[in-house]
Amino acid sequence: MIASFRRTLLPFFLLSLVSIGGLFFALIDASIRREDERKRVDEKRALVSLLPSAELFFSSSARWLRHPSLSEPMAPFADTPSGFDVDPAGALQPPLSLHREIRPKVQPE
Amino acid sequence: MKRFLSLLAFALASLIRRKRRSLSLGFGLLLIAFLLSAALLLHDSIRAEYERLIPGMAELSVHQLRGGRPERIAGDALKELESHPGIRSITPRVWGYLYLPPLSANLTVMAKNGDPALPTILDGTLPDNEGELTIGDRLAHSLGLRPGDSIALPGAAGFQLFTVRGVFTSDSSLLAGDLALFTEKDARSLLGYDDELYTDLAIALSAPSEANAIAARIEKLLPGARIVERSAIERAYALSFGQRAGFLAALLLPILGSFLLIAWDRLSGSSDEERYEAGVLLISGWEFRDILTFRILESSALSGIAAALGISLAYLYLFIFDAPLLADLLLGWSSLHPTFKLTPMLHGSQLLMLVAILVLPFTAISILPAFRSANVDADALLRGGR
Repeated sequence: MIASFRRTLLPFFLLSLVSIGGLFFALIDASIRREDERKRVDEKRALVSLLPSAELFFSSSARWLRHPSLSEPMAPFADTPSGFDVDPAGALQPPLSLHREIRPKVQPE
Repeated sequence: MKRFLSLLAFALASLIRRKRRSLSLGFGLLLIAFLLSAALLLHDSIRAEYERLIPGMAELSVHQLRGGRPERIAGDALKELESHPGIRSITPRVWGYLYLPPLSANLTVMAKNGDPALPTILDGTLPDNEGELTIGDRLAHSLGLRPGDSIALPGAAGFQLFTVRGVFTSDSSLLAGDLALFTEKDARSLLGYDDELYTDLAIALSAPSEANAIAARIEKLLPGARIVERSAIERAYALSFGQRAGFLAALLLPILGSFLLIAWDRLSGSSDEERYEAGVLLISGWEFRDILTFRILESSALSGIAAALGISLAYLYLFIFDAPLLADLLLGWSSLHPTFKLTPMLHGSQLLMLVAILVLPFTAISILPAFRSANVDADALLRGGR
């Protein structure tokens, strides 16, 4: 009986324990982090008053993407008149010209 | 109860007997649970982040436009409104962007317009004198700066030397990661604002509900001005992130659908073996109801464990390992990324909802094949083999 329990049910028992434990860990960790954040929130709001707006810093690659709601309408074209993409932060990788290495061509002798 | 436990034990043993099928279905469901809950949890925490912070903003900001192009504004442009009972303060602000070629990034240059105490999110102090600055954590990290260090910045009139007075901690990175805070005089000289004009006016109101009425008054006083309301920014943010997360979720839903289709196919496809098993069980005294319960227990145990593991892994991935690939997908590429410290908004109810989204359809699609396999003529089945 015990041997068959070990063979069949023990792996399930352990797996359920791990998965339920994982959910409990997530719930407890989330509430601890929320509590920490609650202590900081007044200071963060005070910091917002020192900033142009509460817009989150997701992109610094283009000035019209830093505070999209406050940026000037002509900024994309003013910065890169020949640019294809007015939203480089919509891409996963930087624009090609930024990471393309420019090497002098060596003529074979 | 004893009967139920025996059925459960039999269902689990049956999952182990069909190890390969259980593992492949379980892994598929785990992957979907992981992706779906990661997208939803990430969206929830970003939304909660800006919802928490937006009340710190002034209700209105007024920018001057001339011929449709942005111009700077006089500090006393709205002097007539200063005594308005609905207005708490009008603060003229100097700010702009400074491109740093070595980082290929834009800094947000801001002149200090207040002196709040920030003991937990600021290491050091705010700038008090000329030649001093306080910077965000990403900027400090990229340039290798600590309080007390010096840095030369390329201003409008050539390089200027500054001493770092403070660095904002990574807890405030999503707000101030790229910030460089100066005294007004330094900010003006860096940005090349050599007159008395300001970038914009921030207007704090006594009652946020009066924003529309006061915006209308401002429009009359400054016909060419662009007035940005705090509530409009909030709406725009909700829309833009809802859109991105919705796009991601929309990509994931067909995956969930096709997984369910494959699961359906596999569950009903292996019915020969299952019908034989059901026949044997019926002959040995099982009832139709028992077989159905056994199948439901089998599929809900499998999907429950897979969903719980997937959600837990998504939590670890997002909040312990800081979402390496998903954050890039949702936020896009940038030369200066914030430290991705989000506050999880996971609640019991949300957890239950996620588990239900994943477990219920999977269990539901296993019921019909179970019906078919349990509804067999046991005698004929055993007589004629399979």
